Amino acid sequence: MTQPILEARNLRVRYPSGTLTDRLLGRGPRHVTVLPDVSLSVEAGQTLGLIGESGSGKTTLGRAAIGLAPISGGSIRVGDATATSEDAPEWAGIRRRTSMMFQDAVASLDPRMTLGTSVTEPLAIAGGFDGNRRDKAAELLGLVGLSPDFADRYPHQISGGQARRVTVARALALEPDLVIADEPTAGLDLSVQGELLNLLGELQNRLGVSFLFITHNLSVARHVTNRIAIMYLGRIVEEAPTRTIFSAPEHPYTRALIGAREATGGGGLIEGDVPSLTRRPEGCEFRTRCPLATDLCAAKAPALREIAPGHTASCHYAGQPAGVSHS
Amino acid sequence: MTDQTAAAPRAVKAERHATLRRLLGTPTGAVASLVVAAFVIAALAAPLVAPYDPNAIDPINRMQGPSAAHWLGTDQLGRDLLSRIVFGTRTALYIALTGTGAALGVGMAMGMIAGLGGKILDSALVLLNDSIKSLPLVLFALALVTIYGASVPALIVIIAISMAPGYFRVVRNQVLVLNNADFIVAAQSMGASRLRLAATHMLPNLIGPILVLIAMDIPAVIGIESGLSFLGQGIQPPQSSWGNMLSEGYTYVRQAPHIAIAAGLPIVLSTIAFTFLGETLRDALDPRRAVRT
Repeated sequence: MTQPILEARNLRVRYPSGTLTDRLLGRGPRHVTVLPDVSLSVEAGQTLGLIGESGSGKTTLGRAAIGLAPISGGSIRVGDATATSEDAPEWAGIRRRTSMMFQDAVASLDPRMTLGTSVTEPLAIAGGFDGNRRDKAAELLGLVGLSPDFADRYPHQISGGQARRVTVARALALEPDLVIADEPTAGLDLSVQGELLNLLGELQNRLGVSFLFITHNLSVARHVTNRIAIMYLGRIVEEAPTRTIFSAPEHPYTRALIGAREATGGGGLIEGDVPSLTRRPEGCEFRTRCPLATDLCAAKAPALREIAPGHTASCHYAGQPAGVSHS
Repeated sequence: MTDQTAAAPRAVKAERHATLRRLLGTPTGAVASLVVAAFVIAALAAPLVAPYDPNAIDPINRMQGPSAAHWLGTDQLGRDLLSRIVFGTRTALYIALTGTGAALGVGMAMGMIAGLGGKILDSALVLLNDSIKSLPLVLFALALVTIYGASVPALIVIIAISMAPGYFRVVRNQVLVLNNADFIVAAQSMGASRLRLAATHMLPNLIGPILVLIAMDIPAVIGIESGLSFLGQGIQPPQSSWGNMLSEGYTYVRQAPHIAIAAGLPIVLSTIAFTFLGETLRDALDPRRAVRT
């Protein structure tokens, strides 16, 4: 097997917190640790889905992967460049072969810039492009099924679905190895969602680009991903091939997520609230909401361990014969 | 909503036309634009517009009320008031534009540096600007004039220093908001340098609020100039300025009230016109309003 295109190793991300006076007086925590220790890899040409509730740190992980979050430990490797901090010089190279699609497509386009300029901006930043920028814009827009005259429009003149396509075109401008797509289907109605997912799949086949696909939507993830990593409170709690996640989930949180998707009624995802990032539970962090929680869970945090080849989960009771899971 | 076959460059032009239409479409916007245009023309073409030499003394016809020969009457030396106002417009707008321009340059540079340059620099610049803002303007101006003497350059420096914090604040706040805007973060994710962020993404998005502030500031600057000239610390006679005309008229307000009234008229008129222009400009430039047309 070839080397993964993206590899996060023991990545830790924390944001400074509290006011300046609080920090000077030593009151309260100085940081909020969003990602305590995350390791993750995306294979070349594959799509990894990053799933979690809002606040699970999936967006932060996506941003950290392109150097937009304060990394305080561990490393991000893309290709052969490894960065260990937010202002590492390696990001310039990494950003040239990685691109990001933001959750809010319209907001991620400069309102005062024509779409043609926006789409070709990565080329202008990277430098070394000496072709005709208008032709290139038309070509990129064509790639995502938009006519060339979109190049002269402004973001507020197009629909949400069209804006999404424009951001896809921009993400592919430099023919990257990896695209980090943060909720690319957010705010789109179902038919447009389908079109977009087909487009992404088609472009992946044609260009061989890898995707880190961040979403909370399991149905979407099921269709487009090869592997899925489930996040809870900034940690990956289970990771497996997509099929396995749906057929044989091992972590109670994964089961709850899948159960919630299949349940027809309304109601919350699972019982209880997500604990605060500043007051993480002792032991297993999911135990406050876990139906299986025992004394062991309160005493000892479960490690992320391999249950089957290519399938990891962090639960003391994962991988055990059935019985425990349905108590 | 979008017509895919629309000729593309036309869309851009239509966008600009739409802004102009929204500006001139409202009665206040149209009237304000007209009045401002009249002041600008008066200033640029003063020798052509003014019926008399503004400094020509005619003692026989002094302190006369409005008449066919002198539309606004004459002052205590028999000079034509309309001509003096027209030339005063030149002074007023010259100082307003250079003063505001200098304030804009200084304020914007500081605002950009504060917004993009990290916490310590930001705090230092905020402190500096708040300190300037806390100075009583008139005392500050009088102190400077006492030291350096009353002159046009001194006036411009006073205006630049006192107005810069306004631009600083608007630019800094806008930059801080933009720092977290998705399209700025997106440009960062593409590897854009800070300089590129500032020049290609921040600046174009700052122009709207800045234009509005300029339109709103011009009457304030005219007020400062008039006020200092009224106190005898601004434009020195015989060069005409609305402020020193008002001051002279004030002396003779019992015998010939029309002098003070004539001098006050352009101050009031320009203040109202520029303020309304600024307000309609703010509405016309709002991109969210553009969506609805």
